[in-house]
Amino acid sequence: MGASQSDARDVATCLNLIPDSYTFIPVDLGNCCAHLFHRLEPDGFIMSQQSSQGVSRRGFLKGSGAAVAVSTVVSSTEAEAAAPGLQVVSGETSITLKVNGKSMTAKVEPRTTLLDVLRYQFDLTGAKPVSLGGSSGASTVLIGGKAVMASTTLALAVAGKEVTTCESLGGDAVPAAFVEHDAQQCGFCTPGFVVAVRAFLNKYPNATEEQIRAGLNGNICRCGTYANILQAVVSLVKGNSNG
Amino acid sequence: MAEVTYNWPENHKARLIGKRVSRLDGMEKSTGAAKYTYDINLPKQLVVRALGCPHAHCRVISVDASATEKVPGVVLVHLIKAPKPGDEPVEIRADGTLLVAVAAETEAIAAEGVSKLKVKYELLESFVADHDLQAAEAKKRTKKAGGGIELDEAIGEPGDDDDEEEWEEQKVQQLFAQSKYVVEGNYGIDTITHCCLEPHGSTLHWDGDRLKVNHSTQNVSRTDDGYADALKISADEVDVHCEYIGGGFGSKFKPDYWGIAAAEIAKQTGRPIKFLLTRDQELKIGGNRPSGFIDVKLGADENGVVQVWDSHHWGTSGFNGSTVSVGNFPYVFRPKNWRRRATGIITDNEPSVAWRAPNHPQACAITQTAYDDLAAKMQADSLDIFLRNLENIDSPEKSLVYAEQLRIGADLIDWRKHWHLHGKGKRRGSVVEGLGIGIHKWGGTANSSNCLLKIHPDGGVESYCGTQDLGTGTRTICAMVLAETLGLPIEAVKVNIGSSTYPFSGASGGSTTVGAVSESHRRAAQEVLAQLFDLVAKRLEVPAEKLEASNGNISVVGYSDKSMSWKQACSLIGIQPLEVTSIYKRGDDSPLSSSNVAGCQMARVAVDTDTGVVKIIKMVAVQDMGLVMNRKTAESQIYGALIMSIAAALFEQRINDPKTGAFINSELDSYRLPRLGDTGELVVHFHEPENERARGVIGLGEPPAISGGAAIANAVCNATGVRVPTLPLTPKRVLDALRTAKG
Ligand code: FES
Repeated sequence: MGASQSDARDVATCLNLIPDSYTFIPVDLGNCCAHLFHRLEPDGFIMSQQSSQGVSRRGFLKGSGAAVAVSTVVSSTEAEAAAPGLQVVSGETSITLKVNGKSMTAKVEPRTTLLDVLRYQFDLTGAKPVSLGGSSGASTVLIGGKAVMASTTLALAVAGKEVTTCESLGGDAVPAAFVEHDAQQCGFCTPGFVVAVRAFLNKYPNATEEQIRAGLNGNICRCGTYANILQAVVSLVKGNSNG
Repeated sequence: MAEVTYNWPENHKARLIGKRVSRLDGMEKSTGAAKYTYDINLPKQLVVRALGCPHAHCRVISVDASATEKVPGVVLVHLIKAPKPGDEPVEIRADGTLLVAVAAETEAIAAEGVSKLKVKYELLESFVADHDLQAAEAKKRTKKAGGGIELDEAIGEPGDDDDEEEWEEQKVQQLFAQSKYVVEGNYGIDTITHCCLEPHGSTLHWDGDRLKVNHSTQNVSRTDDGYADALKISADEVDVHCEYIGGGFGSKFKPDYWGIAAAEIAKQTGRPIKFLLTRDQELKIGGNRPSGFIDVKLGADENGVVQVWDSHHWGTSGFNGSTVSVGNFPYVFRPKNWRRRATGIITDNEPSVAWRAPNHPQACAITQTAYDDLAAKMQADSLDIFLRNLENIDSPEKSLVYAEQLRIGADLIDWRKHWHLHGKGKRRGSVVEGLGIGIHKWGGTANSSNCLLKIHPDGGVESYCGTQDLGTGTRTICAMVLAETLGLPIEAVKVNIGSSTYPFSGASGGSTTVGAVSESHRRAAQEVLAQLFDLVAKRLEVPAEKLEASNGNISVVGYSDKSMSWKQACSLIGIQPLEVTSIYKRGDDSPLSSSNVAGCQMARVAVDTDTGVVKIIKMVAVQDMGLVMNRKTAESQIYGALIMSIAAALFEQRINDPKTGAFINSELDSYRLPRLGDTGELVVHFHEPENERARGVIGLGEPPAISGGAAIANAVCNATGVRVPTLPLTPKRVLDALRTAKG
């Protein structure tokens, strides 16, 4: 489906609103142009919103060079070489994840997302299933300090890695600033935002207001708490209390 | 005990009411400790996913679930809206309608099970062109949706021999002929969806014959009825809980048919069930707001005061074929002569439900744009035209309030500095800027609410109320009212809400909740305090009316040495807690709450005429609301409402494929919502003239969510000199309008 002239220009204009980690696929949707926002995860994962349907329970392709250091025993029943250097893992497997500093064991299939593990096996329900394609940012967690959508990250891919969820940020300055500036209404988007802000401030501790407006567009709030979030982040930068 | 006179503390005495108080559950929400319906995991629960109908209009002939049943971990396949073998086909009228549910050990297995269902459909012709009245008429997809006419008394009445309609037509045309300025225009606003971030649904289980439901609901006290009715049990056998809800906006009042299906599946499997909609389903069937499109002709005198309004509007509320209600046309303004008519269009879409300020945002966006076009036609200042037309509004007693609010708004947005005639502003490259206005109104009467308040002999305070906190900060306001009244710190009161086992409190819809809980909690606290004062008065040997509760003490006014700590006072209660249940009924005359607010919003935008992209530079909201309860959360409500207005004005729209009827942008990557960087500078002003506080509490959720769309649309017109007729003002629509204007 080709983008019309106006779509293309629209995309270009919107680019400055969106952080670098997004790629744009303009599509023509009937009487308006809309854009598909796909977030490229640090490990290069891209998943569609059909994640749990689209990824089969059988096929998780482990690339030899890809950053999928599965540190646990993979009790694969049907392991087979799909291509040189690649290995197919299938069936249910036990993996260990380091979540909020604790080692935790989960039973996963190739298709199991990190979000599923957190919510259903560890009862860490702060990260929310809002849009499985990751375009809402509600399932944001930190992996190795980087903001990642747990809904588009396969659990196998993060085995052995350091996962930080909002639940561990109780003593952090970000939630406190969110409370002070009332950056939450229904609160369903809030944990994702809190983690995204934490990651953003780690990278840009002295962000200007302009940078904040440009750098926190991976998350959606339906209740409209953006003005309050902005105030919270500005105060964190100013107060220099974001550590 | 003397009869209690309900009142609010005077401003200078209030410690909490009207101040900026942080919401009590903010930390829980920020750190994931707040458990929403979706977050509750019950032991041994099954997760349900359902197949949504992929067609807008079809018959479901048969379902083959054999492959699904073979998927390891699938426990039950349950028909929702699909025929059993041998049954008649089931007609489906909306994309996304849930046909078959699959209960499984995990969400992923349930989804896999759904993907393996084989369903036979017979496709039927669909119709989704809600903007196209002629096409709808040709397809017999229209329904009359009301209308009426009112002419100035001076015009007289039709004679006995006159055909009434002909006479009216003649008079209307005469009025146009006498008008100095006549504006004809068409305007529109697309259907949007509620798009709650927590989808609709429940996590529930049967405890013997009792159904225990965690349900994402705005109606904690009365969702039990819906379950009970459908399941043929009695409402006292259903408990509904909702401590936290991830958005409702008018769409979460009922169990919904998937809630009933969850209860049935739980019964059949004997296991707890979690059944929440997917994002795609949430957008398709979780609630939407009717569209509205209008043909308007208005006539104004030499001052730009509209003398005659004539409109016909249409739109869709889905397959039940209604549109925006006609009663509010033109919105807020009410010229002496008006004729208006509405036509509903039957489209193959899920029926709409209440959406924050039902009907008002659409009515505002498609009628106040015509008033702005009058300013454009006259080459006059829009602000002046809005001000002059305040002489004819539907609540004339509010005209001074609007005038004052417009003046304040104009100051805050620097109107005089930035104003230019429509399309006559300076250009910076391809960018032009503009200003626009909208004004609104809302009732906001307090809903019914009861509160059980317990004071324990050890000084503990706890309250129970079957209300809910949608994010407005209800929980915090309950605590503020109790703490203020009892003279205690806010942490000293334990507020319990969110359960149907607590005293009844009305649904949260129509800005009725803060008023409701303020009524019930203040009443309960004042009554309990009066009882406590009686006990303390006896002990201190002073008249009870000389006592006051403040700073954790009960003391004699003017004699600070004559006092008792709260704890000591409570020890006088005896061994059983002091309990009071207050009852407030909606409509009861009360000094604590009232209704009817005005409000205005202004927008300053930048439009890139090369790309069609509109950016918000600044928006200003001026809002009266009676007695402000929590200044912090009230401000957040208005910020949020402004942002929702930006969403509907610039971004969100349901897009149906014209051929298949399918709702094609039902994911958050294509159903566009504003992001943090899209909102510009937002300014909130509480309009609190001297007597405002005396009006008591008035609901705030809806009013600021109304006029922002009109303000933005008018600002874009002011910037470009061209009316982009239909909201959202997407880049394509802006470019199309600019091209059409160029010819
Ligand atoms: S607070 Fe409700 S979605 Fe953000």
